[in-house]
Amino acid sequence: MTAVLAWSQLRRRPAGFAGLAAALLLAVATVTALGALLGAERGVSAAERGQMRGPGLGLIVGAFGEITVLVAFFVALNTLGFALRHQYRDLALLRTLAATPRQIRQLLRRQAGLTVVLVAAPGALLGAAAARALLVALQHRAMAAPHARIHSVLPAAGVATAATLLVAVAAASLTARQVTAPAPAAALADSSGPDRRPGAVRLLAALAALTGGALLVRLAATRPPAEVDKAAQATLLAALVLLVAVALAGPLLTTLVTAPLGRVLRTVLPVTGWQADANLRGYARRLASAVVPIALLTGLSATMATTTGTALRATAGPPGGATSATDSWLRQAELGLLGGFGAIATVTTLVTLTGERRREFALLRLLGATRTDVLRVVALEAALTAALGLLLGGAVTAATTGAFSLAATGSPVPTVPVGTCARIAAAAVLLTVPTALAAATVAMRRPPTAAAG
Amino acid sequence: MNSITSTEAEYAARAEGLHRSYRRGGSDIPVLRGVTVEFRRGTFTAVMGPSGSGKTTLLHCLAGMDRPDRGQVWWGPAAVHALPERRLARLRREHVGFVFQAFNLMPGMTAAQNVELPGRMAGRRPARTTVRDALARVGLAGRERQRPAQLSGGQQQRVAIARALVSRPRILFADEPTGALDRTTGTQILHLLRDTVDHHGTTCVMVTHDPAAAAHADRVLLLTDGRLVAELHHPTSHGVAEALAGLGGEA
Repeated sequence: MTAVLAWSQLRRRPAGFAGLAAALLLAVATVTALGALLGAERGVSAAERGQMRGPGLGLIVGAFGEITVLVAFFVALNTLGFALRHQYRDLALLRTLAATPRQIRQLLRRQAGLTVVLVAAPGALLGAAAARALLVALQHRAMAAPHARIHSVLPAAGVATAATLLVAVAAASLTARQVTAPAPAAALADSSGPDRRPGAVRLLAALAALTGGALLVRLAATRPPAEVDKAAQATLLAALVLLVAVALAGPLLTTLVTAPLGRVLRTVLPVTGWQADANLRGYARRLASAVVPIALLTGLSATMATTTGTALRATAGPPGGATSATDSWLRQAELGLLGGFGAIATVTTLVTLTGERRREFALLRLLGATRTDVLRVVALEAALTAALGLLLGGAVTAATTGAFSLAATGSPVPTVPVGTCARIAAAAVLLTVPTALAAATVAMRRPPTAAAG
Repeated sequence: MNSITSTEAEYAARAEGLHRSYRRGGSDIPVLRGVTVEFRRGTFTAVMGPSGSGKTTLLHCLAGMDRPDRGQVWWGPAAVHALPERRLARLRREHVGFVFQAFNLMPGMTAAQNVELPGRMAGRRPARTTVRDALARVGLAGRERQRPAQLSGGQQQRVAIARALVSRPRILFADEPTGALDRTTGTQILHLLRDTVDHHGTTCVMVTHDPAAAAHADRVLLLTDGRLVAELHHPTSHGVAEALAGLGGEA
């Protein structure tokens, strides 16, 4: 029974699951590619391996793996949460029809599982292609043995699918609490999910993550110059943990930062700015969920880029040296992958959050706003959201890379690759504003009388 | 004084020969079939009829929220049916107020901000005292900073009425304003609407299915199958119920 229902929901609201499917696809592809690469040097002689430059295939895969897998799962959890919000009302209705919380959890697990099954084959194919391309690129840079081959992708794909399935199902059980926790009638009355204040548990977790991040920052800052690699690892991990803290404390942080920004906005733009400010402040949780993926995307990429830049200066080798060039090439590849996940999370979040405001937009139009008026407010809100994300991501980057720089060069001022960071910021804005505008345009397609009332 | 200006002065809104149909399942379903109606300044009119009789569509056409296929709508001297979208949006902002059955308020904004909103969109900022007075008049003094989620359904309706009052609309349209409320709260809302008509000269047009609610109006229009079939003046709850029952028999 729940299997049929799970399938019909997927078919009825494909848009709600698009983000989740994309995230899970990328997760399957990444794990498949990394697994296939790990097995690529099987049968290659140790002597041949020893001649290679760089850290070796195993270490490369490991370095790639730890961050991307963590981010992949964070994004999967995030998109799953939005898949649930898309059908919040349906699920609430099911509960009033006496579906037990267990059945709801089962339904969501089945949906997540079905999505994984749907994306497994294309994900594996994508992963295989990526593994081959990556291997060729590595061989080209003499970082992998010339005789290394991608043997069979199937075992890696199997492991990737199983792991993704496990995580998706676990994440589904977690997110199901959002709809099973309140009483059925209360859940139904609140059609898009409650706008709760962050609970004490969440704030405590944020505090714990903040403390952990601070300790990692200290660890990175106090590494001797000989342990630059360890400092770099601690820096990245610190950035990740601090970004988790930002995600947990999101609603609180955004409220604090929006207040002064909003005041400026209201003064400069008394009509559009006033509306944007009021909307953003009144929906701290909605704003926070849009800001978090942007902070994550920009914070991690900027930390990575800046750490690489600072490390290159610290080694003081010729900037065009072979090792540093391949090193930064690897970082670029990793940045690209992270960017992919960040983009999926950002787009899913914005499309869902903006789509949910259909009735708000209809009301504004009935009160005498034109489509253009509404889009202007949406654009401003999106720009502000991007700015907040950049601010929080930038703060994390400053803290972590400052520590790394202290360890690597003795100065707390890191070498900031201005071009790369500007591109990251531009990408965030270019992703946020047009996505929100497109989603709002779709939300206003129907006449306002049909959407409101 | 010629006849046109006297009509303009006398009527807040009027409609002539309104036709409106919707496409559903490949065929056109007529919803309004030639409705002609006038609303005198400072009066309270209730529009009633069975489900599907076209009462909400009539309200939407009258309020400039939907365009008739044929026919004319006038707000005083303004030909609403002929206005381009942008001009119509502006005119609506200045001359028309709405109260819907539900979802009247921007969920992210406070009560005061919701009341301020139409004025802000028109490019002027209503004085803080005006907003406070309007909220006080609907019995919501001291709740300026609360958000819709913190207010009851009746309180949310009252914020919507306060919002409509601040912009001093020529006409106030209400679509089932008491439909989602309990009887006591609903009666309070109806008294408020009556009060704005009696003491502020507002013209109010309300769609309702409740004879008791309609009894607060000066006149009741009965709609069946997209046509006006009867008009009751100084209605009583009992009289309205009987007239409605008569319609049911014909249908």
